[in-house]
Amino acid sequence: MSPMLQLTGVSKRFGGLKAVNEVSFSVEAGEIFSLIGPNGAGKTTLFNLISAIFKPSGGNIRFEGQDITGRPTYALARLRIARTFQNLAVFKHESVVNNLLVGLHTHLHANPLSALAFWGPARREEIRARERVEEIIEFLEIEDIRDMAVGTLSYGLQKRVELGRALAIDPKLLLLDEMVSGMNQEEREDIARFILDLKEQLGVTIMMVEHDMGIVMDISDRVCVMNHGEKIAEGVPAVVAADPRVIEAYLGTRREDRA
Amino acid sequence: MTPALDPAILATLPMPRVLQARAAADPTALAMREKVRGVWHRTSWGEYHATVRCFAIGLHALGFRPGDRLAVAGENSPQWIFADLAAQWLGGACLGIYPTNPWPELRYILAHSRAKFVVAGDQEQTDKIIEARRQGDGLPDLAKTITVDMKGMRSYDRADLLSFDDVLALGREAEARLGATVDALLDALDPDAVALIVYTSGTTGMPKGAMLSHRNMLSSAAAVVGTMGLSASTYSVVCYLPLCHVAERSFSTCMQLLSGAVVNFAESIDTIVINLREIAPKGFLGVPRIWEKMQQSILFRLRDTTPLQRRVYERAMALGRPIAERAMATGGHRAGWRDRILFRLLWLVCFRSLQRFLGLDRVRACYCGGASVSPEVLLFFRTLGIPIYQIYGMTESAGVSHLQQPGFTQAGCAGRAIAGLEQQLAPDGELLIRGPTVFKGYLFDADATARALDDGWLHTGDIVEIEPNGEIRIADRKKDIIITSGGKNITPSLIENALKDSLYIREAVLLGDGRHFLSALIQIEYDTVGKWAQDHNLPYTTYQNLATLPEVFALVEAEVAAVNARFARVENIRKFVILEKQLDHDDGELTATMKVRRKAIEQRFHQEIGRIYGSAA
Repeated sequence: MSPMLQLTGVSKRFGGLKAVNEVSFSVEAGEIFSLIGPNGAGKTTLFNLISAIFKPSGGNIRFEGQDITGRPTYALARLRIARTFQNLAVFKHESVVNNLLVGLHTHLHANPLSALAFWGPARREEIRARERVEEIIEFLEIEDIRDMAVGTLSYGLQKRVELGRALAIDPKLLLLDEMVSGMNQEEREDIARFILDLKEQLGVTIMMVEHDMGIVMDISDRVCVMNHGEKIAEGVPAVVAADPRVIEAYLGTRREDRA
Repeated sequence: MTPALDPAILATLPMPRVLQARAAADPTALAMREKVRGVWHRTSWGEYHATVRCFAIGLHALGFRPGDRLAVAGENSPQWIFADLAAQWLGGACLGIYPTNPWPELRYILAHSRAKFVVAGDQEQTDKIIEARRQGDGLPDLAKTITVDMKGMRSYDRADLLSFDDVLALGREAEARLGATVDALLDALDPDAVALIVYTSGTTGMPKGAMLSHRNMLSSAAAVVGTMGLSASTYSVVCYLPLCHVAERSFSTCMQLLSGAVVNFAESIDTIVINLREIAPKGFLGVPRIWEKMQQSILFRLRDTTPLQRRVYERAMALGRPIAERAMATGGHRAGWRDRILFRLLWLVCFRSLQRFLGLDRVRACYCGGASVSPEVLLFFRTLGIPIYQIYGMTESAGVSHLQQPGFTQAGCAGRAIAGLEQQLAPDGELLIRGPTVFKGYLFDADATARALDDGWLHTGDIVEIEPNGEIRIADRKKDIIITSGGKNITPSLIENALKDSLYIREAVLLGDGRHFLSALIQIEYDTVGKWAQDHNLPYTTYQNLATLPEVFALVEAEVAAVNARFARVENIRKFVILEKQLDHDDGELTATMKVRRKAIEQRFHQEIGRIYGSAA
């Protein structure tokens, strides 16, 4: 069986700068795959290539065997690839429920006329969408804030809402960009638990870019390390953490920082 | 009402038989609501009864026999009550374990009670049970763990683990085979058999399991139902206090069975305030802490309103207060038509919205019990038009033993003894009670039983006075009375409650036993003091940081001085210390019901106490 996501020799140049250089790896269905590396290593650029924000300068990206290189972003949502952003991307003045409903819009097919009459299929579809939203609310344990405007919530909760919106499209592959940065310990642990539950209960494949080594090492099945736009190691967390190149490029320098 | 559903007659039956009678009389009537995924789901009496029966058959098939014990560890839910009544149906007893109990305490209770089954609410509770089984002898009496919410437990592969739905499925499957046997068990049920075991939170030592019979529970509940005239049309509740505690069991399960009222379950602990507003129940039971919090939520929100709104509120409160005072003096009735009309006007202008904000706009009667409460708090709610009746009782008296009621609402009192209960005062003023609500003893602890029960008289441990109108006035716990080195007897709860009336003080522990002056350990209210600090541009990071700010000390000092002014000189607090950590159940400083454990606190904060009294102390 082909892997869920396969990158072959993917590159991205911005003028003379090689942000991503000939990176290849594959993500298997049902795993938690983390992408780590120092600042400027090209992780987020790679993420943006996968989620079609940028077009790669070279190489190709395949999702479940089909080539998705250069497909428009909305097409990815139909393929059930979802992502969250490093910076919050929520509708601050809308309620939690409405933010989640927005995520569902690719699944709504009613035409404007029947939606206006709110009868028959349109009505059923809307009720079904609302139920789906409630499932997500229950999953993320945010019942108490469902009617609050997202802008009034704490950062950790806003991130949770953003995750909820990504879940609304019922993703097969979920791309999480630095989910826990700026969160406190309790919020981090909550998110780690949700990510594990997503994988185990809903069978979602997760690929994440993360700075928090604790979370990466605890919950990832495999880790890919990048530096200067290139992949320098890949494997299970314990092996990657012991790789001398990784220690030098990333973990080592961090430890010195701390000392 | 059919004569078969007269509460007085129902109270003589075992609890599952009452359920059976209600289901037979009107199977489609509404019994419970539970909010799931944003929608209130309804359970009728017929479904209630069928589910309990089905679960009982399932339990029987798994080997639960008369005399066995079933434990429940989880948040309140309909399943909690189904499991409770199913265990009783089979002639067993049910005991609750606080979901907040850390696993060693859970382990102690499971081991001590020799429970055969345990129903766990979710993964968290199941994990604690699995952890407890790994230790020591592995709880040999425990046969199976039954989990209600299986979320996150796909990969759990243990032979001793099954889901609540599995047991129901088993019950449906075995119905043809075991239905008759299980029904026969119900018919043979003795109302004096032990129905539930309530582990007392224990402000001292390890928890003890008080055994309560069907008759104990229903007699106490029937007295409240009778006195207050509770029926399906005058009573409904949101079930939110822990069901492990005797009070919620009495007010939700027992009074529901007797009155036919609707019990509502909130979506989660975090949504109780919202759900309360949606349901607007007709009855509400709160411990003092809940009422204090509700009062604070109003006083605090007020600061963010417009000057006009604030003026309206202040004026309404100033006019409403004397009306409430007069009403309390006349036993809860409005004194005269002037008061009636004025209150109606104030209600229209102001109080109606405040009642709605709290979700208490349809309430007929509220109850406050569990600890002593400041009369100020009660008067506040009375002013808003929310009558709170104080109740008194203990685990060992199956819930309510004394009850305030229309006609008996003296400030600072806790009501009259319920019908059928005898009472007398010991020479030292300790209240002794005897009657059908007095418990059957502590499980596996004959010594403790002998200490608590003397010729049927239950020693309450509370020093009380009986007022001319028959109401009791509680001075304090016998063991908490402070005798200073000057020989003065001081009842700490009175002064502590006065301190806790402050917006900024969450908990106060009075010290001074055997010492020459009184002092207090004070825990500030994190939310309100935090907001105060923000308003005064005082930066802080954590609770500890906030508690050590000199400005906060000055704030609390002013509050303490205000309280001191209300008491005699010997009762004045000369020194106090603000605790640098929040008191917590996990750290053993509070019981599961959020009462302070004085001994534990005095040990833990001996350094602070040393600072107050000097090294000589």
